[in-house]
Amino acid sequence: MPSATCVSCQGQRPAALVRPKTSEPYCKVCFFEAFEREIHETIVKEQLFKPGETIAVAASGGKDSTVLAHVLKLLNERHSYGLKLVLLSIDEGITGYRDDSLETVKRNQQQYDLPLIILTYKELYGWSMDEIVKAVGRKNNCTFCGVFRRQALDRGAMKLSVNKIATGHNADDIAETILMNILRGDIARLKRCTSIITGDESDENEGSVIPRCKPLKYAYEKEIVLYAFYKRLDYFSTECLYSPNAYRGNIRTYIKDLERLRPSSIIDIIHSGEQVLVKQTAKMPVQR
Amino acid sequence: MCQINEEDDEAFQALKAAAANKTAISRKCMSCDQDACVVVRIADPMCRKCFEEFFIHKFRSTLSKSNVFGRGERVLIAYSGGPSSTALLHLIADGLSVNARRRLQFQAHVAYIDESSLYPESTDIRDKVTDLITNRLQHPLHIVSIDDNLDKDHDFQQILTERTKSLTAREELVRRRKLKLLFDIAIRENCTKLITGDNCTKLAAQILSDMAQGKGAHVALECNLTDTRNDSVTIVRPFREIMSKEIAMYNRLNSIESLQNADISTMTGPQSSIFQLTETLVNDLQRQFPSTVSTIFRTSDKLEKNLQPHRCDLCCCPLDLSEDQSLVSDEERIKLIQQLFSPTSQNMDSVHVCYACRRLLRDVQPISHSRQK
Repeated sequence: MPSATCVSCQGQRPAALVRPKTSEPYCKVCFFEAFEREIHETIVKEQLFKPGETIAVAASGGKDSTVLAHVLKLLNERHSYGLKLVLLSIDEGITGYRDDSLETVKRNQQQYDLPLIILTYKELYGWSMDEIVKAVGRKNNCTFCGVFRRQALDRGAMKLSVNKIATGHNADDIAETILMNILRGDIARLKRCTSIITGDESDENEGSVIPRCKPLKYAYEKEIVLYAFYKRLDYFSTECLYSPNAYRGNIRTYIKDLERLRPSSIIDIIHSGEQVLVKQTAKMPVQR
Repeated sequence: MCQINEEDDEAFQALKAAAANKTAISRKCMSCDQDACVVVRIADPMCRKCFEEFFIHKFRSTLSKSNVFGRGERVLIAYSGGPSSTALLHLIADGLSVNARRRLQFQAHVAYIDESSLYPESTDIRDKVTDLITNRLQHPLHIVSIDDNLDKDHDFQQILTERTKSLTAREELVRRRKLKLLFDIAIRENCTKLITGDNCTKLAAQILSDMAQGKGAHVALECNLTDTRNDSVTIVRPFREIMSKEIAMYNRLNSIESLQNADISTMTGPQSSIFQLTETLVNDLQRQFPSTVSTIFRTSDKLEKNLQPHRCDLCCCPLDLSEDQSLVSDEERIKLIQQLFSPTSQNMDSVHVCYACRRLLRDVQPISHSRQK
């Protein structure tokens, strides 16, 4: 019979939930505290930010970016990071999905009182995702969208003159990406995907690109949902219209099953990914 | 077509009968243009003779390409009773025979780890194994029980059923224990190599399953042709590039029978442990994307081995944690490791484990805990 008192405050408050990461009972207050503290520790340990920097928070209106914006604003004030935060949103042109989530971002801008800029694929590239899918069919859509979005984020960041971009990638996302790269044979990405910050001075390949970091790297998706729910954060929770056919779906199901068997699996996969070393002699794709 | 007495080959006859009904199967072998009887890889039809040549060639070239064996070297073959290790024994027997082309030059011993104490219905497995290996193939055979040399406080079956809470942990404990026993036999018999029948399909599932358990640092080692985790005995995997389907076809065409082997995962369902879950994923993906297994394998083959000098006391692989993080402090667990996995020296000052083995130990409860229940 699991105990009904919070393990953190040892019974001062009754437990309200079981923490997905540790399977221990927690009360709401201690859960918020633990969740926020772990993100703060990640930021400090990995030296993600420097005082005086301007950070663009990649905001889609979904749970990850909403929680990211909320927690970064909170920690920036609580621990005096000295950062200036802005919201950066990309409109891929997916009817019934992106147009709704953008309304959420506009509300977030007012709720958090942060500047917001929205860029669209249509104005950047002349194509919206709906047009692309009509032209190529319903397979491999995520590939186009992902490549376009990264460039769009870079362009938006330059427009706003920011020092870094913060994205809401969570532990589940990174675990899926690690496994996907093995299944797809992408050695180059396998090397890079566990880095918490990409594109800064330490990365020889990408000199002139704005660095991107993932403060939520060690946060479980389930915990992000719980946090957003209990804090009554305003976010948009429908999945993209084009995602059911994605290859990633197979791996997402696998990871969900793994998590049920052993909750620490997600962090274990990330540890595995971080330990992986590529042979010097392995052929890597060359960027021209 | 491709052999002298085609009436005797029932496998070929069955396929020919099927071919008479369905025109799709009357394809020609890609090498010699005779009638095909099997399809390898994605869609390459082959006749029996060409398939066997292809199969045997893959096996022999994997071994001879890397000059793995020295002349007269003593090697230990790990036999599990399954289709891969049975095929392995037959191929080695052919390779050692007097009229073989470029004859294999090592001295073969065979080891079998008897797990029957772990299941309620034990069969006469030892007799069957002895019959095959001692009587028919005439290799020196070493059978060791999985609870060999354990004191009364550490009954392996009891540890597995009462103290280990997940099937994942049980499977992993059995796997590590088997390897440890195989190393012991090899050292005792002065064998410097241990040959296993691990095939590409199984290795692909093992690689992903290991990633899921935090063993990413050892993936390069687990899929390599030669595995040097033990200083005295090197593991060799000649089937690492051969698919389980190809082995099944070879066994069928040559009427090679494997033993009906149950293990602790039998009848538990596809979602019962991390390995079962992963194996199901790999097989499902392989059906839709036929290059899945080989891609997983190729990717892992490009990974570098972890060069840490200190080894994990459970799995013998290089450590992937810092000195203090890998130290085991719990006395009961130290005793457990010493009993099940210790090297020849019994008293170890400090016990160190890698990340995955540390996670595994969390699923094994100390004795006092389980007695309270």
